[in-house]
Amino acid sequence: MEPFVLTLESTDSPFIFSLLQEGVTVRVRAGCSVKDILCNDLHIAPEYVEERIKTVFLNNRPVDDYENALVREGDRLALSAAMPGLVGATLRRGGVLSAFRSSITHLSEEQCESFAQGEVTIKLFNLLVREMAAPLLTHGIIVEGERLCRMASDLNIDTGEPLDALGPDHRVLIRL
Amino acid sequence: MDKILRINMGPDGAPSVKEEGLGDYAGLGGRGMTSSVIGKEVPADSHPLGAENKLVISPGLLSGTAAAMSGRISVGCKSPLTGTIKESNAGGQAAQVMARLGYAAIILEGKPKADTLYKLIINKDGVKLEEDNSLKLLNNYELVDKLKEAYGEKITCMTIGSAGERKLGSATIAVTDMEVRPTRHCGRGGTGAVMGAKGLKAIIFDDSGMKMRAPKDPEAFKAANKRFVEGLRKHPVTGEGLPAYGTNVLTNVLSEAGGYPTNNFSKGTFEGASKISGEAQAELETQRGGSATHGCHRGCIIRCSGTFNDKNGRFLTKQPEYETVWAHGGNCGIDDLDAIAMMDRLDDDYGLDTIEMGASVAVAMDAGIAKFGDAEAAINLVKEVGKGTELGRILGSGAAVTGRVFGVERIPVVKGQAMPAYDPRAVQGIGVTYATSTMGADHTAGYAVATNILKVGGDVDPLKPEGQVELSRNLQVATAAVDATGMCLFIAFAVLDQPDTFQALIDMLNAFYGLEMTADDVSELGKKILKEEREFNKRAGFTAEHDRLPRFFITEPVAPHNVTFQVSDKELDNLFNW
Ligand code: SF4
Repeated sequence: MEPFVLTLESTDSPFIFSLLQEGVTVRVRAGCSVKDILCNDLHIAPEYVEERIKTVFLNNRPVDDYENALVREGDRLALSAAMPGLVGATLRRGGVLSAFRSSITHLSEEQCESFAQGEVTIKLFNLLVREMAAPLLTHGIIVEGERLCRMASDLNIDTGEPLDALGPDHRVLIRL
Repeated sequence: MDKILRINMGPDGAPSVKEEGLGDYAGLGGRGMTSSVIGKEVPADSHPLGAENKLVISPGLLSGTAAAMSGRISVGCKSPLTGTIKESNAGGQAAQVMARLGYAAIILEGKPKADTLYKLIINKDGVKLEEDNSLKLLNNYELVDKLKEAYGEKITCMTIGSAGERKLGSATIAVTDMEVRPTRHCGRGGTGAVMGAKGLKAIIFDDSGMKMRAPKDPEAFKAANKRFVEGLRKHPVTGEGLPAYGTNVLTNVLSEAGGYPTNNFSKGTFEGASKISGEAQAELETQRGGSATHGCHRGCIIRCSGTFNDKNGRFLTKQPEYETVWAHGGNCGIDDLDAIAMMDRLDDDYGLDTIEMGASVAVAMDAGIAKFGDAEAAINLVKEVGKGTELGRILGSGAAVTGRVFGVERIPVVKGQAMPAYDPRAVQGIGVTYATSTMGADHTAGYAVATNILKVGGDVDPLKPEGQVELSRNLQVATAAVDATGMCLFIAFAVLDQPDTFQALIDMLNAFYGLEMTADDVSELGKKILKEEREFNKRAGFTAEHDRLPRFFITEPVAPHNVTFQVSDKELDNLFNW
């Protein structure tokens, strides 16, 4: 079933920020590296990726080498700015303390030969939520209708008539 | 800061108060001072609540100056929780004010013969120690209000609540913040119980009429402080992340990493993380007219704290920190920020360590005393401590005692002190620090400070397995040095990444004291402190066998990574071979 399309005028809403923090589905070329997806599918500037996205998790595993960490269909990618604390520094991409979590670190893989469109979950944390909301919504994010309605009601947000007709299996493509 | 105030609570008649010069303790501050005094003057086999133990309070080397971030106050003693040496530090106003009043240390010794409660008043006119039994069993908020009524709004207080008077192992010493609220605590190790055992309920400082401490080379000091502040402002953690979200920004990230101890360390990811994250907390605080960016003392420019208002917009507590939100939140399966903030308020009021208290409640939940996720039950358990019931006294004595009383196998402590908010199976390096720290399990014992710059113990190859042990050692050494300066440890991120900022800190110390210290001297200072602490612990009966994590970390894999703690005992024993 094709998703229902919801077009927003702005990203500046606690509702959108909550969705991005909890994770949203995004259609990308599955099998590409983290960096490739961020820069080429989501069109985020390479300098921004290098300077701001200091902490990356792929399926719960901290990533050091994001040029060789491949994102597959169904994977979960979580992105954060540099974090405080000893453990915050430990989780940082390629940091001097990465040995502290070597037993859970994501290991690099061989690049795939071919890519196909697929869906992955992306979560944004802290400073990145506001900063990356626009490129992500320009690309389009997909959310289950039921979750959207539940969150809207939790946050007391009126989503308007269009969403009233959503059934439990509907998905919504939200974009700018 | 050229004098020591020594108070003996023990003599017949009345306690004796005397001022003395620095003597052997010249040039020491913060943890350097507290550990040195305890190491030299306290018999290692003494009882922590007995007359032979001492409570040492000391501002850092740069406290009371114009140096940004220099407001940490250290408290040292033999810990009633761990039996080891203890240094516990807090923000708030006390370090700045005590340093301006000229004291490098207050040393409390002896034990009062009668059941009398005292208060200590220190201002420009001198020192008074007075009996005041009307303060008995008051908790911190009411106590500070009463002291403000008596001594005015300009005071800074260090106080104990009912937990300290009851001499519980989780009891803290509260330090008032800029708003004269008892929100900052020397939290770990039961220092409040030692103050209670000395019969001292409150220290009231007033630095009206006192001047800021003057550097030997004012120009160089000013220039170094400027570079230091610029370094903090331009770094994304100290300049953006911490001011925006506070330390609770770590909740989402740790849960995603599978290193967030949930339901008493039984799993590494918490489903409710996003509901209690720093992001959600900042949003809620702002919505309710509180603030997500606030300093705990004057001169803090990072401002990682905030104010948490209740549903009606009234002040409830300061912004709970990451460790608190974890201890009373995910560790107990609770995803309700209001309930967590209420427990933070109760802990501050009774004078309890939020980490130890949350860990005790989680262990009690594991024993079936309450259900994981039941916020109301958790609040009621904390209230038991305030009431001083038998159950409350057990919980307030810490996670180790609670676990033993209720027959729980999974007790996350090292040397009797509860582990903070990072699972050592997922982040094994921090497990090394938990196991080997001189203080019991402590996340701040080996903080991220300039390993690459200090090169304590030579260059480390972080990719070798033994790299974790070497790194942990370097971090513990560097942390001990920073704890001596009075600097908030959160400067560490900027210092770690920016050699210029680290140099600016050394330049500040040099300009203030007219010294020519190098990075090597700083690491020597850190090593000296650690050595003194290790020696004390050895004399107190601690051996390599105590530098171990509880067995369940080695036998129980934790989801989602299904890993156990794998650093061998032999590697752990190498930590202090330098
Ligand atoms: S950064 Fe936070 S803990 Fe450190 S001094 Fe400032 S408010 Fe206090």
